[in-house]
Amino acid sequence: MDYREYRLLLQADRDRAERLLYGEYVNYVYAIVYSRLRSCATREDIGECVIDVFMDVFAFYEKDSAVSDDMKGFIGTVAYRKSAAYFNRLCRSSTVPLDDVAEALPSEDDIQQDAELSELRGILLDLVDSLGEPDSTIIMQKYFYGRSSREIARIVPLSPVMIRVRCSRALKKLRRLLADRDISL
Amino acid sequence: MKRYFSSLENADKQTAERLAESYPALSRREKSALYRRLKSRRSSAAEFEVGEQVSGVELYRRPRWQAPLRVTAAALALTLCLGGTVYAMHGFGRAVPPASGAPEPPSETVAAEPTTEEVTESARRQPEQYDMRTQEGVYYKMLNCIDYYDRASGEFISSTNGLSMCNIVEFETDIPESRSYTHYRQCWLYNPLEVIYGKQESVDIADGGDFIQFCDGTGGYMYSLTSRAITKNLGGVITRGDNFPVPDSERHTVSGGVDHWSYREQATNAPYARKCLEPWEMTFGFLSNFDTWSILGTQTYLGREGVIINGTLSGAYSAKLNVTSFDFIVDRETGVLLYYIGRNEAGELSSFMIVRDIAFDGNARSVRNVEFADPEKTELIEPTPNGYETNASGQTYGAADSDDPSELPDLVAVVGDNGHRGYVYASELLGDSPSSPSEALEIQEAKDNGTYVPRQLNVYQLDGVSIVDTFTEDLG
Repeated sequence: MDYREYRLLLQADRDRAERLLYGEYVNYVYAIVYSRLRSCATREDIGECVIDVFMDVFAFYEKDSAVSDDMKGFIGTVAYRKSAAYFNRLCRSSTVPLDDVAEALPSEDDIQQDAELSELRGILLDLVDSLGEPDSTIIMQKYFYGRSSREIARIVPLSPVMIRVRCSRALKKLRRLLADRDISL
Repeated sequence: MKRYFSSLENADKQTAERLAESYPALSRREKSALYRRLKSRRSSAAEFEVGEQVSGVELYRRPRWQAPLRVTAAALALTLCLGGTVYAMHGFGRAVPPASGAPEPPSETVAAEPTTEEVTESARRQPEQYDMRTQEGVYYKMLNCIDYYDRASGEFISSTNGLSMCNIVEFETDIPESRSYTHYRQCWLYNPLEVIYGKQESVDIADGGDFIQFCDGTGGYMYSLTSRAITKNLGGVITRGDNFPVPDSERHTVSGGVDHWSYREQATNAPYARKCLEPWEMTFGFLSNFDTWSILGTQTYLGREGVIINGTLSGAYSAKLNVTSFDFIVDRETGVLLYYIGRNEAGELSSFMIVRDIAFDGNARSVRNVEFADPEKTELIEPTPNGYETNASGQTYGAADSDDPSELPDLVAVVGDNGHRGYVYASELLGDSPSSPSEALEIQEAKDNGTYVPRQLNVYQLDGVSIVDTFTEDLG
């Protein structure tokens, strides 16, 4: 759904427009917020942050005048900034001025590190992809999203017992793949 | 391994897009729950107040033209609410129970000519609020119990005619997904009372009486655990859309002097669990004559609130079952049958159905996936009991990926001091627990001041016997 479609639908049926927008971008927003806050915030906080992002996005798009047609870009930006605000509130011991502009401009020293990190992320996700379903989902849900076997069983239609079996096998394979690529942290 | 995934923190947009597309964090239910919270906040928040700033975007103000529109919308909403209340009061005269726990109304508006799917979905989302203090309420809620849950899991034991045998049924069902799993065992019944009161632990399975019935969303199958073969292809699945509601007034009709009983289509795809989850035959058979039974009260059963019913039975159905008096416990929330005892003319036990474990929706076990080993779907892969693979001696083995000692396999994979891969016994790895707090403190102090001598364990091959290396305890 592009911005023009959204505006037309918003005028005809606001609830439907917002529901569709939410459905299209909730995974993206959650991924941004979760990756920022996973180290220090609870799932409840992360959920609240996601809600805040959509509250802001809906409120902005209620305006008649559009600023940008790039909905994904805008929503992503709101998500990054909102999660940064949450991070400062929840994860830092002292109050730090929110300096989004400075954070958005990496220093030259960081560029190489960022490039290496970006490459590592890509390789890691490629290797996880190569495990195939449902193992790749199980591995991500367990080691990135921190879910238990019982919780994963509600997402992947396997019993918690089978989840553990497959996780064990997939992990062995992933370790081997990482070792073959000579990747270690 | 967690270190590798920490590299995904503070993900850039490209990584976030990839995560969102390939590995979304939220299940469908979680997304819906989050959306409901969002809508709730949206409707209760003071929206678009002057002075509220959208993060990272310029200040904005409420358009002036919206003010008269809001007044008109409020007046219209009030009119609709009043009209709706009057309409409800001219309903069927059922007592309306308190609204606590009432389901949220669907966000979708129903079309003028709803499809079957929309009607059945509506029946599920807005089930009737039957008063379970009344006979009518209990009766109709039992007949429509599938409108009160989407998922269920549990186990019950029931008798067959003559009390010579019993059936132990373990079930899992997911109605929206049209998936189910039932493990059915038919066993010899030596002492019914011990079974009913849970004192009989072991079962003596009758020949041919151990099988799995499952539905994978596309088809139903029966698999014999005795012959290890698919014995029956049950054909297509039943979806919620097939389960059209039947108006209460049309449940029992008489035509040409003959009674007609209208059943709803079975929705759980778990026919062997119907006695509990869709007890419609027993509801019609035992409860259709309100003069022969009464509600005695409520009690807590398996942690759930149950309605206690006592009654008598006569006629052909009574003769068929050899039952003249009965007791039920009906789940107040869902209308499923939790407990049934039938007695003959002499007051002796003659049949029963006792639920030993049950859970619904978010508390229910997921329907286990039964995987086929071949494309022709003739052979199943049966999961091992405790989640790990086993060696020839029956010992489990695998990686120690859990912090919970109870989840460790018997043989834990390690790399030995000399680089040889093998396994150590979990029991040795965990070691003996300190016999007292003072001993535990001594051990910790020794570790802290460097005087602790790390234990050295044997590393075995998969057979758990052949030693290939040593493994020195890692204090880090």
